[in-house]
Order: sequence, then structure tokens, then C-alpha cells
Amino acid sequence: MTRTGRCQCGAVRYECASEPFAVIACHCTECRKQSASAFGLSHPVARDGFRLIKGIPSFWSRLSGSGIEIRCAFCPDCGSRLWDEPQDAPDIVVLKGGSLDEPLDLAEAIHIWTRSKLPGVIIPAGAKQFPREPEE
Amino acid sequence: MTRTGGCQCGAVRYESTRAPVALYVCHCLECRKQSASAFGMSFIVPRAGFRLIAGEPKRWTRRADSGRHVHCFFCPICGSRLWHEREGVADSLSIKAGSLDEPVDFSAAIHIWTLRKLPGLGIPEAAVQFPGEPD
Repeated sequence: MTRTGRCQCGAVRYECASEPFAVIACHCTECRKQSASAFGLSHPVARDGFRLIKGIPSFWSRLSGSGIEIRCAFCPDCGSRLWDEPQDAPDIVVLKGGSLDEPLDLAEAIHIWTRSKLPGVIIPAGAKQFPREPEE
Repeated sequence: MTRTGGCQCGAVRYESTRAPVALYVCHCLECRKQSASAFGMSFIVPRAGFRLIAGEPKRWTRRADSGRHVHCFFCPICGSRLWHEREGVADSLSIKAGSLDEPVDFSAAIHIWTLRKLPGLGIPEAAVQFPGEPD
């Protein structure tokens, strides 16, 4: 199933034909700043089926806690974050969940970095969760 | 209490010295796209105590359903959304709450546009909530 996504203003659009691996809600402080909301939503997919269909994103790079460079794509017009490219995993693109046009189902989400979650955020009782980064 | 905040890369920083007016969690489609996450968070503060202390944000403007313009400020280097200013609202602005350095208390938030909430997302039982825009 091909899914589409875009930034808030619509200048940058992508499509994704590959099946997702997971929905990850990350409560770390980087994801909080990145989303300017409570947590980040990551949706890793195979790069094979991923394609930019409109516009040209800007990239900002940061180093992860483990020293891996992460290239972060965002719209230069409205700033919306679109996807991340972890440089140790060239076959994977990590879509930012809220940029997808079709709403994601969070019932299946894996919650990570729950030790730094905002007070009052509810994680469903049955959800898989990890206080930090999950073990490989 | 003075609160500080900024974008993910730290190029743009602000401070807010006045007590906040309210905290909203908005589940509308615009806020989902804006955060690229599940919902947007708005921390409403008086404009009087708000001050840019580092960097120069970029501005993108959209028209809300009300027909009024919303000016959206973000970091031109990393893209992080920082705050919104509404046309016709002179005395307050909306800090995007995840940009604050000190974590906000989510249990105190008012949830709006819950009609559009992502499936599987829990809202605290005691929270004040509105299916659309509050009256």
C-alpha cells in the first residue's frame, strides 16, 4: 500500500510504498524539541519504496547519543520535520509519524525513553515500553 | 518565574517572564503536521513578558479556519517550531510547549479537537476536553 506524506504547508511531499517496521513514540528530550510537542513519532521504512515527489527539503545533522550522525529533513518554508536518515542505516528512512496523510494507529506504538516522558502523559497499559533506548 | 526555551539545535532561544495563561493539547490535522507527531502543544503566555534572546527565527503564515492569519515562527537551521502569533490577538502568544527547556505538566492540559485524535492515544480521564474548538 502506497502512503503519502507532507509538511504543513505542502511544499514538500513524499510517498512510501514499503511496509513500516514499527511505530515508535520517543519521549527523549531531543524528540520533545524536534516536535515542539510531548514526544516524537518515528515510523521507520525501507528506503527502497520511499520517494520524494515534490519540493526540496533542507537538512540539519545532529549526533545521536551513541555518536551516529542523523540527517533530519524539514521543509524550508514552514519548518515541519519530515524524516530522519540515520547514517549507520542507509537502507532505512525514519518518517516522522505526524507528516503522514493517513493517521497512524498509536495502539501498537512502542514507547522508548519513558524515563524522560512529560509528567501526565499516558502510556497504554499493554504497550511495549523501554526506559531508555531498547537493547539491540 | 522566568522560563526559557529554544529550538532543537539551539540557534534560536527565547524567554518568558510572565505566568502562563493556559496549556492546550490540540489534535487537529494542522497541529499533527506542525509537530510531525501525534498532536500540537500550545503554552499560552502574555506577550509582554516574552523576548527573543538568541538567533533569528523564520516566519511562515497560514490562514486559520476563522479566516485570520497565524504567524508561525521556526528555526531556519533545524526547522523546530517555536511559537505562533495570531492576527487580532495582541496580548498573548502560543509557545509550542515542547520547545520549553523545563518539561510542562501534561496532566494540566486542555485537549481540543479530540474528534481528530489519533486512534490508540490516551487522554487523561480528568482532563477538560472539547471535540472541536472550544467556544
